[in-house]
Amino acid sequence: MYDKRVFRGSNFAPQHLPKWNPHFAYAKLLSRDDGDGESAAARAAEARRRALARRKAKNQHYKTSQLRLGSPPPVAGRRHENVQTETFLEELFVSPPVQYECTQTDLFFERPASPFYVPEKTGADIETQIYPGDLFDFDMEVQPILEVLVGKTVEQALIEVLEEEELAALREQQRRFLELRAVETAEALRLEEREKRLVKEKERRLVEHEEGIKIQKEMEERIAAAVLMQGYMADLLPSVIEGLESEGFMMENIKEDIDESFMPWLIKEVTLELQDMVCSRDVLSDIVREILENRAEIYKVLNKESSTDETEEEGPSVQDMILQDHLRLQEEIRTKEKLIRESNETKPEIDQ
Amino acid sequence: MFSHFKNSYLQGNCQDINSGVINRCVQRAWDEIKDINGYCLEPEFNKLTSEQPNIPIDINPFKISEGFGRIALPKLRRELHSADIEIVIAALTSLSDIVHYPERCYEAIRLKVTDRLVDLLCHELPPIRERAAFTLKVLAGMAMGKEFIVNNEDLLENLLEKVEDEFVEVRIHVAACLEMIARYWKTADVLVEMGFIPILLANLFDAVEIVEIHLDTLYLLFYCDGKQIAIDGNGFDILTKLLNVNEGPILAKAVKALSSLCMIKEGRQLAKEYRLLNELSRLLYDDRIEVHTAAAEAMIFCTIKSEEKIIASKIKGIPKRPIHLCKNRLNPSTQLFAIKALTSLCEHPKVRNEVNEKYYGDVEKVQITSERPEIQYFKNTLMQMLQWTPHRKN
Repeated sequence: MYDKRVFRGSNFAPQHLPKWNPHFAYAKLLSRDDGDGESAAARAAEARRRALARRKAKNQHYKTSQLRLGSPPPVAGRRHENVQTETFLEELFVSPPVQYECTQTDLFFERPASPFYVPEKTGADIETQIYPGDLFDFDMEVQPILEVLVGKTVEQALIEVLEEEELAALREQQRRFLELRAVETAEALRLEEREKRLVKEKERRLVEHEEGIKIQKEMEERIAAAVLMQGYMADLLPSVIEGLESEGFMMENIKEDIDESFMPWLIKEVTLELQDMVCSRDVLSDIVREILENRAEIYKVLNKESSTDETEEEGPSVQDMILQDHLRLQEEIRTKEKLIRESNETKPEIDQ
Repeated sequence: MFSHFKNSYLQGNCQDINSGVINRCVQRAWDEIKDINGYCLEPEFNKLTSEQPNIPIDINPFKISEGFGRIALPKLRRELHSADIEIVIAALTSLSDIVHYPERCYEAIRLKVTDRLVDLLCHELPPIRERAAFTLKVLAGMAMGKEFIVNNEDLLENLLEKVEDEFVEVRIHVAACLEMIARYWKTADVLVEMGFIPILLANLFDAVEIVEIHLDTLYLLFYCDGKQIAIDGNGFDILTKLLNVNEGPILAKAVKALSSLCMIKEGRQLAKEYRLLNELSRLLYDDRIEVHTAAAEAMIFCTIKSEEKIIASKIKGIPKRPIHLCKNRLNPSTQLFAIKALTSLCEHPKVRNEVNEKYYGDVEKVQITSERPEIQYFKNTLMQMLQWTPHRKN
C-alpha cells in the first residue's frame, strides 16, 4: 500500500534529493547554523553555484517567452482590447465593494484553572518481564463465574416457574371444586326450601280440612239443638212466664212489652184457632145430630116391627150397641161444649 | 394533562415530586424550547420500549449469600441473626430465593426457619420485614409450612400486627402470606380463631392489590364460623360498600364474599335489608366476565326464600339477562351460575311463565361445553323446572 507520507527505503542509502527549487534557494542556507564551522571557500562555492543556477533559470524563462507567439500588432489608429477567452463570461470589477468591519477582544480573559499539581517523580524505576499468559485475561477468567451465575439464575427461574405453574394448576382445580360446591350447596338449599314449602302447605291444608269438619259438626249439632229447643221451649214458655211472674222477676218493661205486643198477638192467634175449632165442632155436631136423629127414627120404626122376635136371654144386639155409642157421643159433645163455654168465661180474666 | 412518560427518569427517581412540576421545571431549563412528543398528547401514545432506566444504584453481587450444598440452609439460618444488618438482609434474600425449590423448602421448615422469622417480622428496618414476610409466604406454600406457622402463636400475633404496617411493601407480602395460609381449612380455622377476620375487614380500603388479596383470604375464611363472625363484625356492610368501586377484580371478589355470607340465614336477611338483589341485577349487566359471573353466583343464594323470589321477579330484566348469560358456552363458570340462578328464579310462577312463553326455545338450545359435563345435569334440572306444573284437583 502506498502512502506518500510514509518514507520508504534505507536510512543509510544515498538519498535522491528532490529537484532544486529556486524559490527556496536560500532555505538551506538560512537554516544552516553559522557557528558550525563551515569553510568560507565552501560558502563562496555555494554562492557561485547558486548565482549560476539563477542566471540559467532567468535565461530559460526568457527563452520560453520568446518561443511563444504573441498577438500581431494592432492596425494603425487602433489598439488591442483585453477580452475574456474563458467559456463563461464573468463580470470584473475594477474595485470590488469593500466593507470595513472591526472587532474588539475582551479586555481581560478569565484566569485559566491551575493545573493539577503533580509532584516530581521520585524513586528508582523498576521493570519486569511479562511473558504471554502471565496477565489476567478477563474473557477467560470470567467464564466459570458467568456459567455459575447464569446457570443458577436459569435454574432458579425454572424452579419458580414450575412452582407457579403447579400453584396455578392447584388453584384452578380448587376454584372448580369451590364452584361446584357452591352450586351443590345452592341446590341443596333450594330443595330444602321447596320441601319446607310443601310440608307447610300440606300442614295448612290438613288444618283447614280439620277445621272444616269441626265447623260442619258444630253446625249440625246447633241445628239439632235448635230444633229440640224449639219444641221444648214452646211447652216451657207459659209455665216459665207464669213462674217468673209469680216470683216477681218479671219487670215492668218486660211486662209492658208482653202486654203490648205478645199478649194481643197470643189472644188473636188463640181466638182464631178456637174459632176454627168451634166452627168445625159445630158443623161436626150438626152432622152427628142429624145422623143420630135419622138413626133414632129408624130405630123407632125397627123397634115396633121386631119387638116380638127378640128374646131377653140373648146379649145386646147391634142396634143396642149403636145406640149406646150414640148416647156416649152425645155425652162427650156436651162435655166439650161445656168446656168451651168455661174457657170463654175465663178470657176476660186473663185480659184483666 | 401531565404525561407520565415524559421525563420518566426524573419522575421515577423523584417520586415525591408531582410529575407536572417536574415537566414544568424541565421545560424552563430547556429555555422554552418546545419538546412536544407523542406522550404529551391526551391520551398519550402507548410506549413501544421502556424509557425508564431502572438501574439499581447500589449493585454488589457479593452482598447476596449464595447457598450451595447441604450447609447452605444451616449457614443462612445462622446468618439470620447476625450482628451485621447487611448479612441479615443478604441471608433473607437468599433464603427467599432458595425455598422456592420444594426440597429446600421442606429442609428450611424442618430447620425451624419459621421460628427464626418471628422477630424479624417485627424488625425496625422495613426491608427486613418485607423479606421475612415474603419468605414466610413461600414457606406457607407447603402444607407443613402452613402448620408450622399457625403452631407458633407469636408468629401469628406478629402477622396480625403487621397487617397494618406503615409500608405498603410489607403489607402486601403479609397479605399474600395470610392468603396462602387460609388455603388449607385446618390452618384457616386457626386464623379465624385468632381473630383475623375483623382485622382484614377493617383493612378493605387499602391499595387495590392488597384489597384483592384480603378479599381472597376472607372468601377462604368464610366457610364455617367465619360467616357468623363476619356478619357480627359488620362485614356485610363493609363488603356492600365495596360494590361501588370500579375495579373489576375487587368487585368480583367482594360479590363472591357476599355470596358466601348469603349461604346462611342471617346473611340472606341482611341481603334483603340492604336490597342486594338490585345491586346484583345491576352487576349482571357488567361487561367484565368475572363481575357478572360473581353476580350470578350471588343471585343463587339471594333467591332461596319465596319472599326473595317475589322481590326478584319484580326487578326489571331479571329473566332476560340470566338467559343471555346461559348461552355463553365459552365460559363454563358463567354458564353454570346463570343456569342455577335461572332455576332458582323460575320457581316463581310469574317468572316461569314468562320464560316458558318467551325464552323456552333459547333455554332448550343452550350448548354445554364438553369440559364441564356436570353443567348438563343442572340444565336438565332447569328444564324440569320449566316443565313443572302445580298439581290441581280435577
